[in-house]
Amino acid sequence: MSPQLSTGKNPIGIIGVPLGYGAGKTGSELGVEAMRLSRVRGETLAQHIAGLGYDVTDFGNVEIIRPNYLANGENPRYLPELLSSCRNMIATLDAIMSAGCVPVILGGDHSIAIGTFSAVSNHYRERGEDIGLIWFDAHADINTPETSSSGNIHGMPLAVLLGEGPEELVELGGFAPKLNKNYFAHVGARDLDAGERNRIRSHGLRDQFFSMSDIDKRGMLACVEEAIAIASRAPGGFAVTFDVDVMDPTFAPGSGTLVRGGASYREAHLALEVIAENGGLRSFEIVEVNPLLDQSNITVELAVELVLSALGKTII
Amino acid sequence: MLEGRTKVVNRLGLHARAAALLVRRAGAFKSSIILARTDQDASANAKSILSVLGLAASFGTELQITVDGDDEMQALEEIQTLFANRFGESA
Repeated sequence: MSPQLSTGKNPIGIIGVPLGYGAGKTGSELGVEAMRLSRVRGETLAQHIAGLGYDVTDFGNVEIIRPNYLANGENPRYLPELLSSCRNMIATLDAIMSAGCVPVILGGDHSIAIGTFSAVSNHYRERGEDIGLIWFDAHADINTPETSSSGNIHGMPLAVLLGEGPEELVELGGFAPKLNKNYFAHVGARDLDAGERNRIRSHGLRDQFFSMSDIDKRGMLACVEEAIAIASRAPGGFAVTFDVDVMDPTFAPGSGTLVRGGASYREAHLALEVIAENGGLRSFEIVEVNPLLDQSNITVELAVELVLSALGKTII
Repeated sequence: MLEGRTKVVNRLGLHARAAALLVRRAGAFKSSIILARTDQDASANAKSILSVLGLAASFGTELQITVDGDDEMQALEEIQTLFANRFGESA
């Protein structure tokens, strides 16, 4: 087997972000160690990545500031703690990328994308390059406190990155928006709130959302190729954030907000294999893996396999 | 346990890139590696980026390195070399 190295000779830096309080259910913070330590066919994630021919370093975990109280009606919930944690993500990821490593980010719930993509965006922006983003998810994650009934920030990261939502988060790192919407594509949506649909339309983003219905009609390959084409307009390349709930719950039961009718096992691998072949991947993140809700570790092991596909593991 | 000294001799100091390179190298050893400023009460785990950045060690800062573990001798030597080679920076 001769893996194609999507990121050239760049070394890989694994970094954990064990933050789970942006979600309604406890447990995604445990996804980090589950993915890091599980032996999939006898080897850990880092060993598998090394096996693809990469120089890989495990940088440990970003220091997460945890709330010492239970939220009681706040919307958004745990904003001060998330904000401080996001600052730590930015400092850590900036260092990892400055050392020439491509980050492989293990979450955590999807609220971490506020910190992680801010870091990636800021890093490339300082080099005069915008960066794109491909977002795999059953949900749009484009709520704001005004349209969210739960106040859980893991439903808001896309809105924040596009410049809407709590000002402290939008302005994180001193610039906004973090994401140029022309370089953004979303794959796998099937469970949107009314407020989210309105926001997608008002941003003019309909054609950049490849919903499960679009995937049914056109096939995953066509949809992901178009998503890559959109994200690749960005001169700096693109980041990928992958919420495991984009998968059908049959394949990934270990996640907090399951929705039927998701991507199949091979559709997800295909999407990430095509991304790896493109060569434009600058950062890969996998989130919402919840070991407490998993069955026999299958979601964790799937997540590890998906990381490898994104880094260029091929069947032959 | 072994102790040694080093000095930040790259102009940019122990900034983002240097910190990550240090953590990469330190992470390869089993030993614990602690850096402490000699001019003030501040120490850092050399295997944590945030911890290392928190030292705010600029050009000229002297550091004490404390290593403890099976491979402490090699770890101390390599960490000192990394500093002496200015983290690969030209000056």
